[in-house]
Amino acid sequence: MSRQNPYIPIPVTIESAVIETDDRLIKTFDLVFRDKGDEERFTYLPGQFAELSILGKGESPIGIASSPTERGFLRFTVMKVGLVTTALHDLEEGSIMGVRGPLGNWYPVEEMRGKNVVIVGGGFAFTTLRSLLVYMLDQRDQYGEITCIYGARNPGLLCYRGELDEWAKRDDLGLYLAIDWKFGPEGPIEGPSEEGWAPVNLKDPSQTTLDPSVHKFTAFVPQLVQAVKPRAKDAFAIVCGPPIMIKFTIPVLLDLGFPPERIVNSLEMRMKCGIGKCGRCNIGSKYVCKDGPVFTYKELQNLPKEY
Amino acid sequence: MDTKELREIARKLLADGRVKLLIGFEEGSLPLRASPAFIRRAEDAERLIWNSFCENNLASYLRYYLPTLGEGEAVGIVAKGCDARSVVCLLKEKQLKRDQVVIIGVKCEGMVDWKKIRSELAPDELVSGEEDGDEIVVRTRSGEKRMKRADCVYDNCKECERPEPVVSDYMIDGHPREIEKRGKWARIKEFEKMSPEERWQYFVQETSRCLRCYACRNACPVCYCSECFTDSTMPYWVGTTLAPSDVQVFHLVRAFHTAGRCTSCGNCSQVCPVGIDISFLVNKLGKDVEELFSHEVGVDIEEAPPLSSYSDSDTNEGFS
Amino acid sequence: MNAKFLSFADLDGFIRGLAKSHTVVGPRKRKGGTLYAQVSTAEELELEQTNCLRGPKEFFFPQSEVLVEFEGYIDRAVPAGESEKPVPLVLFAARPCDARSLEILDRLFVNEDYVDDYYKAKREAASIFCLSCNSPKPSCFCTSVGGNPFDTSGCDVSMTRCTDGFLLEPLTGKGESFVKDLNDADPSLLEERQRLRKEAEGVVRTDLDIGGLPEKLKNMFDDPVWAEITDKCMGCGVCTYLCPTCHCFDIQDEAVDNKGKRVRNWDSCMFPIFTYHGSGHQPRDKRYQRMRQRIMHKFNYYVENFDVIACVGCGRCITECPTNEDLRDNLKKLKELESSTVE
Repeated sequence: MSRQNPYIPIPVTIESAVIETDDRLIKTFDLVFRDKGDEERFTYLPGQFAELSILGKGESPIGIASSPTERGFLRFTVMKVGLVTTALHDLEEGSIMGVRGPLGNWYPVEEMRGKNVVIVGGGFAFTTLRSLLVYMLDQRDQYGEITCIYGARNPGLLCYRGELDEWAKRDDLGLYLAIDWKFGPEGPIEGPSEEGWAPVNLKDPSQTTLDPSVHKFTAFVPQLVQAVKPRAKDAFAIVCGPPIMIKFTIPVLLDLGFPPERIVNSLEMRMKCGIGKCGRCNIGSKYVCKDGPVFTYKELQNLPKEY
Repeated sequence: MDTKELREIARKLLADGRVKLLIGFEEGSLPLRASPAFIRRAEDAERLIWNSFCENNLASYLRYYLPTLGEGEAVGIVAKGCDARSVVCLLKEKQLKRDQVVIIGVKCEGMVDWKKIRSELAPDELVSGEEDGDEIVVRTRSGEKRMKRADCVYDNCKECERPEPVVSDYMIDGHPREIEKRGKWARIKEFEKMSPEERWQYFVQETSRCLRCYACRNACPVCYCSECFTDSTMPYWVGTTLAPSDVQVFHLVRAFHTAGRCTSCGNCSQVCPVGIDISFLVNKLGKDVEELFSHEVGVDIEEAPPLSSYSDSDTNEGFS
Repeated sequence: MNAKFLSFADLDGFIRGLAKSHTVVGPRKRKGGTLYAQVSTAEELELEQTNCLRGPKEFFFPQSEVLVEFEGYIDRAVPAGESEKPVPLVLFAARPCDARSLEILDRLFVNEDYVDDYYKAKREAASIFCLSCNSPKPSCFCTSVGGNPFDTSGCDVSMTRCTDGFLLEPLTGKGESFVKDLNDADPSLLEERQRLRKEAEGVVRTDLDIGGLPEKLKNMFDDPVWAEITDKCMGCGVCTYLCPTCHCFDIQDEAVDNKGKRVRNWDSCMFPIFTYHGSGHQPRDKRYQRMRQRIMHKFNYYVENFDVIACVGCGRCITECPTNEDLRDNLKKLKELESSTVE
């Protein structure tokens, strides 16, 4: 059995481990291959994932947050939820761990060349969207208009805040950030949040007048999409977030004219082998680890609603 | 037993809306089997049967259907002595309210061990069979055989001293049958004569066949934890491999979890696909609890469970 | 090569001969039932019983198998068994359904996406002698799912029990090498085989016709029938563990300090935590959803992915189910249902 054995993790060193969010539950790790040959063989595209392996604890499937255009390291943003991710959070810089991958399929970066791309992300699901965004920005002339709409419950829960500030300054990217409404006894409280983020029109977000100098809003992500009104012609929408966000964002995109085959999702499932053998991550006849995690909305319409 | 009476009671309970669902038994699809039946309409009550193959403890299904009950609604259940005592255990542990279950009690004359009959006939395959009074008639491709029912009854049933449900809303007689009465804990008493080393060897040998299929756990009416200790990863109490230590720890811990709550229905042993006598292990601990705390399992609804209550008169045996 | 003949009297010598250079595994009487286990003489074999309690997958896909061994840093993680060559195995007197089940599993474990080396190595080191079923069990339904009591797929040698001994038909080069020194079989034995085959086919339950069911199932996902057929199920793993084509597994690390193993163990889609997300989300919360997954996986998804139904009709799930859930009845119900789903 050679190194090709798909169950064997590849050794990497943790070069940096940085807490990403104010609740300290999300950390970003930059991993460096210990063997140059492994690094050269690990060719991936945005949207793919890898199994992060800590021998003695287990593995966790995490989307790759770095872009293949960023050489020399792999970036993963991990939320602490269980046995393996807790052990991972406890590891210090310099620790050695394992990576198995790249696994799964990728965002349709080839089909999107020359087209407009709308990225919609929620919470820490933004991680593979970062990979896609950086990939496109590093080859900016290959893509049309890029719009990025990204929301979280509060500003402290947004990831990559340093980079978000930099991206906001670019004029070749439309960046819109959102934080949730605060709720009073009657429902969402209208008006700007205490952080001063501009509210969208709560009753009809599509009626919001957007100030071009403002990129921070108080809105749920689907509402911000309605406010921004990205053009659907020849455009792709990549949507990644918690199930409830996806549930309300997709109808908005369909309304704006995005056809199901150009709305792209990345799904999550409990996984173990990551290579389509252990049988647990399937939706219908498709394994999310091997045939996904990227699926177009059109493909999902043909699959059972079992996620 | 009078199946007509059973069906009439069931039919009326459903027609009057007294129960939303009635759990009983119907004909199995294999010879010498009865299968749990889930009756929701009064006219379907005709499917209900009662015979010596109604071995499953239907109280284990309550956990799935109680959450579906609205205010004032109830589930009906056909219960033998051991099953009814399991319901009492569940009541003591506040898993349901008394008015959420309607118990049709049946005076049990022991259940027949179909796996034992099957292995006696092997390599001949059982093609059909049924009860006939005090005999079991079985047919294979070689011909017909008659066996004495009393010889085929589960060992567990031969030790039972409470075949009549202690709690019920209706009670149905069975047919008087010849059944050997060995007395409670008869096999355990024999087992206790073995040395600790011999007992350990017996335990190791029996559990060496275990597949970790958890049929024993799922069949048990008092194994209702929403997260079983075997499934926990934080902390990872016990490994999921077939290493002897993993398998033995699973059985030992499960025995402790069910001690003092087990009503010796024997389902765990009956459902095991590799024939491990699991109820044996649990019964040993059950006997200990009964003796140490003077408590008979599943008889008195008002009496607190022995291992979750304290009394000054609790024995100090083992502590001094 | 011609078909060969092995008398009952010569069986012992044949087995002993095989056992000199191979591990021979065949049906053996054990406490709790007849199981595939190692044998070295004919006396240890139990050939009258129609089938073993479990399928033979455990010899290629063990219930508990070490994938990786490690100590200290991950650099020293070693694929388990790399230094050992798999022992040459002869699976003797497997029934045709069991031999066929291995071919069905092959499509999953060894394909162009990824190759499972552990499974592949064991499969390549094994030879299969299958024994035709002269007397199928009442619970068998192999003919309804593309099998046959006298099927030869997946076999290196097909054996049939005739009046005076066994007819052995080598089907592959490997098979030929085992039987080349035996006497040729009299042509009348081939006629006897035909006759026995017809008899056996007549015995297998033939009223179960699931033609068209795989395609039909695609539109039945949301049908209420799934809840109706799941009432009895108590969610254990007996059906999946005894099934020769079930392949789901879990991967767990077992370690003390920094030394240990990464192990894969059988798992079951019938267990609630099978699909439990770390976030707490549980896509298959109810029993009927898991029952649906099991049946759809075997009769629709596997067909879409690998062109074969992942069921060989051995009937173990039916005879061993503690609550008498009957797959044949369930399939019949699904087949006969007028589809009520709105697409």
